[in-house]
Amino acid sequence: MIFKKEVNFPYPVLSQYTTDYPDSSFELDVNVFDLGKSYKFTIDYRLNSSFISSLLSIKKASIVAIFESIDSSYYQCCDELIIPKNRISLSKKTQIQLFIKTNSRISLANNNELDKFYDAHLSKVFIDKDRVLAISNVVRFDGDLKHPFKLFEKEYDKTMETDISVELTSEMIRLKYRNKDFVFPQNKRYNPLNNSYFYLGLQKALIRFLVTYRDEDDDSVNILNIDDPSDGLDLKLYNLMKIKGVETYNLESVDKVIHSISDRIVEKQIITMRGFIENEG
Amino acid sequence: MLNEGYLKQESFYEDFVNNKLNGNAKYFSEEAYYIDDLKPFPIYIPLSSNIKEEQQNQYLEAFNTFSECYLKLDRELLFSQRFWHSLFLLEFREYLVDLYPEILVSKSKFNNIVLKQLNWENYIYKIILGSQYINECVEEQQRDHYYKLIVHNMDMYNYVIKTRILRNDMFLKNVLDIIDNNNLSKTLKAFIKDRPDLGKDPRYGRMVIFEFNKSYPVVLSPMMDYRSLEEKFIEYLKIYWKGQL
Repeated sequence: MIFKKEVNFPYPVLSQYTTDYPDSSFELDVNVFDLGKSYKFTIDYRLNSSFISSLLSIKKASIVAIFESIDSSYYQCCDELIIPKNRISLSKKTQIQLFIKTNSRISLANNNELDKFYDAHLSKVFIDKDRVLAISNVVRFDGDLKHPFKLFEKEYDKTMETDISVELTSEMIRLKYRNKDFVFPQNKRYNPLNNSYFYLGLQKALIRFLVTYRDEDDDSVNILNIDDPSDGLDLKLYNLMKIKGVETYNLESVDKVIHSISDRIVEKQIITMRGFIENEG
Repeated sequence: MLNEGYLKQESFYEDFVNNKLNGNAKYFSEEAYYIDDLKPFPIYIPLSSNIKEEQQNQYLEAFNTFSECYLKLDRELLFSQRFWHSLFLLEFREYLVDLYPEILVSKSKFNNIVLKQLNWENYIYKIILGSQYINECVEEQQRDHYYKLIVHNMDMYNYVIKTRILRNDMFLKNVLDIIDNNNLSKTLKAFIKDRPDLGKDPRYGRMVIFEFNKSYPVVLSPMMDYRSLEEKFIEYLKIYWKGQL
């Protein structure tokens, strides 16, 4: 439903593909946040056309947001749209555009924003209901937001004093094991059982982040207020939290942050263990 | 999950036939998903021109099973061929081989039934969109009625989901209602005689979709309410159909 072609419309349309409204504009900007089970899109538009704005205010026109990826959905436009992940996938190209459409038949007689070409015809031009009046630019998302960061690495060290340790390096969360047996065998069914160690690693990294970047007299950190961290691992965590919409946390809410940024790691572990026990019975 | 390159492996078909895919390291990636309660469903249901009850039932089974088990999954997974192949070739191998025994003897049948590209011609794709759309727009008690409408107007359904601009839940539902309320099923399927200018196999229904496609975005058909869309639908049909409606 996205429209990007240069065509001749049978009446004036405001868009970057037409010259009908020489001084007016309709621009769109969109940001997306990963909320775990859904995406949140913030819709920010600028309509520079008093004729069309007035039609909107008296409800003779309305703005529709069109999302096209595998198929097309349209929504009554508002500041924010939350779409569940079973209805939209961002891993294929996704395009968003706004249309302004007529809700009833309208006259262009009072439209003084049009190209002079239309002057002679204005009183005779009517546009029917359910027709497009304005088309914004397209905002596009390519590829996925999922996990562009590799956070973990594993190491075996026979000389360790403890069975397991979690180290934070300048780029990674390093899980060290004294014995290869502590990491479950390569059979793919068992791998997620490593997740409790992942959980420990993330906890340690997030607590260190909290201690490093928190406000002075506060026991919490505000992601939106800090500058880009210079440490590699901290930067990964920072970006991951921004994308997932985490704004602030403290010691008590570290678990919630882990849940938001790690695609339900602990959930997967529980499901696997159940599967295990049932099969052995 | 199968790894990214599985289709390129030469021995893939052979290993499948000999049930050697499971546990074979060269086909597997690190990725794994744990999803409860998945059930298999028919993935290849071509319709003959006289729709037999068995075919209709297969579609109903597919739509209902999908709605029950798969609707909640992320689209990222649902529209991944690799996901469906991993699922049906590994987990549901027995079901697949029972329903389509020909895939064990003919590689081309295997390719046609299992490896079809995931677009509008693929039956899984048809089931995904059909289930998502009907579940989104229709109350539970009515859903089977709409699934049946899809089966009995499969050509129209195909043309709607084939057309990028019209691939939308409300538009499909409205079109199914228009066909149902105006008894247009037979008319839309009919072949348009003496019009070589309209291509190889012109049907009235296909031409209506063509007209909707052409008039967009001047006519914002996917956003129109039922009454307005019905008016437009009949108007477009009358461009080609000169008989009684």
